[in-house]
Amino acid sequence: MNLLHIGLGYLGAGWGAGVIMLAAAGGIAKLSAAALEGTARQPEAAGNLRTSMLIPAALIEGLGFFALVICLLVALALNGVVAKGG
Amino acid sequence: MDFVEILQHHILDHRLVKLFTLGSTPVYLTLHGLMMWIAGMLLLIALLVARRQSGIVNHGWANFFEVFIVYIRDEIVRPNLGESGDRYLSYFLTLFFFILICNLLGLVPFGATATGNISVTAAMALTTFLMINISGVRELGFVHYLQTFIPHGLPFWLVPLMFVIEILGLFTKSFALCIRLFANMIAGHIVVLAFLCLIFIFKSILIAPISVGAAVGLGLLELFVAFLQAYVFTLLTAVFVGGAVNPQH
Repeated sequence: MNLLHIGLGYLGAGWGAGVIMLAAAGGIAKLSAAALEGTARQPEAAGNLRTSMLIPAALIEGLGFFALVICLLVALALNGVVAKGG
Repeated sequence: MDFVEILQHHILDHRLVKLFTLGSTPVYLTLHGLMMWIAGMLLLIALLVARRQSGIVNHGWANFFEVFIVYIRDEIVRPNLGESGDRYLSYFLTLFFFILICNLLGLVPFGATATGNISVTAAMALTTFLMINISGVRELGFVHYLQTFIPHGLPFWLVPLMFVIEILGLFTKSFALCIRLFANMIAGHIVVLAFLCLIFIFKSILIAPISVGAAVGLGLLELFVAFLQAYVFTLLTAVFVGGAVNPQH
């Protein structure tokens, strides 16, 4: 019995989660690097910069969690397929 | 004991007792519902005590709540809604404190995270959706509020497409609020449970220091995330309501 399609499905869910991590972490890292540089140049603006950094960071993290939930749904659906018998 | 069973026991909702029957459907009190009631009662008691201790000079609990209340008023509500935004202040304060206490109740022993249930966060996202639209219609009038969905300075053949995209954006914003809070709360618990289940998977006590250390570290991270997610939910709601009440032309 060839279970290749189920294995590829799980692989897709796992790798998808990894790629999401890369993208979200990269985006937020770029954002916080810019905020740190701005704070280093002008320490009085630290409060404003922190607030302006948190909103996009929360939005990007929200997108990351979207995709993570999709990967979780894929894995759970595959669990159901496996339990039903391939 | 299976890992999936442990997850289901700790993360999913459980029915506790049947309350009444509405037509033909029974209404149960569930664990997350009980946690929301406990959060409400804790807040009610703490805020009544704080109110009695407040005045020209605040004592005790009033000092503690004043930090949060002044921060929300000066950094979240007033920059986004303007000086007349003080009308909406009670909604934002309720939202912030309710989400915060619900998040924190998931971290104490025998507690569960009510905001870790997608129905709870979906209901809060629904109230935010209603808040955005009702406040927009009340400030601007229905026709003018619909006109804010059309960005300024577009060629006329793009207008229908942009209108549809903006309407979709309205639903996406609320949906994103719901998913963000839910996933942040659930992810912390799942990872802590996964680390602790490693002890049972390996069937050895030697992995316990690593597992318990990781669980403590992740618990601290969860504490930070609890505060941050309450702040972010309130902030984004304020930004969206501010965008609906006074749109930038």
